[in-house]
Amino acid sequence: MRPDPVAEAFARSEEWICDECGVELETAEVTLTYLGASFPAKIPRCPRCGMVFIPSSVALGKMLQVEQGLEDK
Amino acid sequence: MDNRRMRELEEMCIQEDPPFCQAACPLGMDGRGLCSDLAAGTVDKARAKVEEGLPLPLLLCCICDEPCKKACPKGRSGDPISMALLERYSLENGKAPRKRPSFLSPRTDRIALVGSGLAAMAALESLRAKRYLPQVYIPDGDLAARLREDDRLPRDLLDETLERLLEGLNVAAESPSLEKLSEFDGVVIADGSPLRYPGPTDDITFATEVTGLFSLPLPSDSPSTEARRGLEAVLSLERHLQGASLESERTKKADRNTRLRAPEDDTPSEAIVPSGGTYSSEEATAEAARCLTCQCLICHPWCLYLQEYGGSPRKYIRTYHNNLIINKGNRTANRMIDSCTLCGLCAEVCPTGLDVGQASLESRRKMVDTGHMPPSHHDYPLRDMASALEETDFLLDPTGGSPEWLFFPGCQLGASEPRWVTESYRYLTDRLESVALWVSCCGAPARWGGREALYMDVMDLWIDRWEELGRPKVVTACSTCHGLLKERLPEGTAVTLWETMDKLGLPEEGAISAETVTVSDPCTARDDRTAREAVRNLLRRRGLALEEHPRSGRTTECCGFGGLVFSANPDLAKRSAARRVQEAGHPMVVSCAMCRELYARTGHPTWHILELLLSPEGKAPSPRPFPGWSARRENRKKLKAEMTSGTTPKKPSESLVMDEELRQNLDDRWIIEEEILKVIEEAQSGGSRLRRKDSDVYLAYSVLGERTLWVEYSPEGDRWRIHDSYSHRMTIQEVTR
Repeated sequence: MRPDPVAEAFARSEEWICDECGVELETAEVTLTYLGASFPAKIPRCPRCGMVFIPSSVALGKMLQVEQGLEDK
Repeated sequence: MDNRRMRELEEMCIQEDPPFCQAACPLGMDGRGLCSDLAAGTVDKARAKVEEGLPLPLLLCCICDEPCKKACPKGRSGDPISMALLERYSLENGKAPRKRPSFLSPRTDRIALVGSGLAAMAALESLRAKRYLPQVYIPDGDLAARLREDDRLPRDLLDETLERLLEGLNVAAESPSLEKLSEFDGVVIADGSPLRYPGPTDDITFATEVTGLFSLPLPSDSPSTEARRGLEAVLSLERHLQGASLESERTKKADRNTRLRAPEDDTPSEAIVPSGGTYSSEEATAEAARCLTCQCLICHPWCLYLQEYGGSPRKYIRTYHNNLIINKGNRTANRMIDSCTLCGLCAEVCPTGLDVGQASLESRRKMVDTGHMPPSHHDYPLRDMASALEETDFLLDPTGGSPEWLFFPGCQLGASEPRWVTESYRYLTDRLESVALWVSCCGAPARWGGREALYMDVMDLWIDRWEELGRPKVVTACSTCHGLLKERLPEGTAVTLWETMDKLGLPEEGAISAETVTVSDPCTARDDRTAREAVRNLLRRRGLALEEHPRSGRTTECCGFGGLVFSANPDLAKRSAARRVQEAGHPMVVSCAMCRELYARTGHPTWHILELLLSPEGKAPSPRPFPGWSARRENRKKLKAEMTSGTTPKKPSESLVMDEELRQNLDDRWIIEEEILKVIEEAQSGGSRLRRKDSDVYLAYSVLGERTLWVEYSPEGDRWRIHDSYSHRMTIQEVTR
């Protein structure tokens, strides 16, 4: 089975901690919106302050694909 | 763009006009397609074309009078294409197209066909194909009587054809009376009938005064014309039976004209003569390969954009239209519509003056109006325009409100190099009585992006301010600003800096030495001959040896900046610039700041004309590289600060450290250093940030406009080391547990 690139990218969230709260990130359900469309997404974030983690591989990969798909609707 | 407008534009494109052979053929045979198939060795396809195009195909191509030969442009300097021989080769060597068996019963309308000859035979074949079973009257007893006199027709072919055509029909060797014919639902009278037909017949439909009776004129010497008449009579008869209009759409079809132009590059050649009566495979291929495949596409070699998505402008316009009216499904042509530079070169070379750019721009406006313009396509240029209008706009007016002259260099000149603005302003103030300087944007990005209302707002404010200044004469240094201002200002009010310098004298006297330079005109000076000549005059007077770019003057092309293509389709813009510099034999000189930037970005040495005019006597300065989008923004700020307060602002780039590869990547992503610094400053002053475990590398983001910008950074002395930066347009709406 091909590894899920998004999951793989988010796996790197273990390398980061929330600087302000000093805690590890945990995956939570987050809503992303663009051009009137909403998507639920599981994204690592700080369990205390809510600071999220989106690495470049996700922003320039899956997210960009979805953005372009919505722009061409 | 509504349906009517789309059709009007589509009609201007002549690409789908028939080639000369097809226009000349009474039957409309697609000779160009036939030759293409045979030249490519696809004989089966060729055969299918012949069978579709000709009634009684084998018979007809043995005796065809080939009116196509007179029309074939190959005949101008050599022999025209031997179409009938090629048709015969296709029929004898291609595989017969598979015909679906028909399970439909014959039609029950009572039809009569009277006469003989090729028209009658073609009519009969057509009637049978449409499942009619006519009563056939052959007054002279032989349906092929006249054809038997032609010794080119093999006797067995004729007999087989007659047998096939008449099989299962009632055939009477007699001449029916008109009274007898009145019993039928429809009648076709062809040659060979002694009947006198009632009243005049229509030239196209062959209708007579008797409803349902169609009568062909006296026989023609042209077999192809005869065959067509037979088909037309059957078409009329069928329409009569269906109660449809006999004339609709037929006048236009009968008028077989073409607006194509004969191809220019033609080498004379002789027709291939068959060694054995008919063509061998090699002979047919060689003959077909002589075809010039007449078509238009004159615009294609000129325009990378028109090559990019393939097809004719007609196809482009249709695609635009379909993209605009789509209700369900994806708008797959959005980027295509936004990839035209709107430079007008296609209209310049098109025989009918069709401007694809105009259609593209109209489509963009519609996309904006209906909310379907992808926000990312023009995001950067519109943000840049906003910055030029709000952050770096300034007016210097030493006259206190009533200058005689206003120097408006545009927003891009100072972004490339502030000195070009300051020194050309100094040049003007040294020679003219009262000159104000206004650095701002004319609104062109909004117009190119289809945001016409926004453009009009910018331009209206511009005009208001100009009027407040007492309507001074405007000196422009950007051909885009110049063109747009000329649209709005009274005739003669806007003049280019180049014309002004040409009149007032060189800024620096004395020759400057450079090897020969290639002059490249901006596309927005296509219609401005005076400005183009002034540029050349100035460069020559400066002692430079000039060579013209192969595409210059009225046929110059865009660098890729125009129409905001550099942002909507960066790859195509880069290729446009690359093609243009490849065609330049020498370092280039341009009179447009954006041409300068995009050509310099390819690595080709490129000067802005001011750089050569302002340099001291002697050697030309080393051509500058492309500064990058970040540095351009900083340059604008620097220009404003230096000219309005005499200060030099600290550049964001001085606070940041990054390697060159990353700097280049961020430039390609339109991420400018000023924005990176904003994210860091926000994070450092109490905003949220992540930290890489056991290190001082941070990751933070800010929402800037419609984007979320992320920066990965760490402190390095009193500066910030940038490890990465990226953005997305999706917003993180809410966190739910």
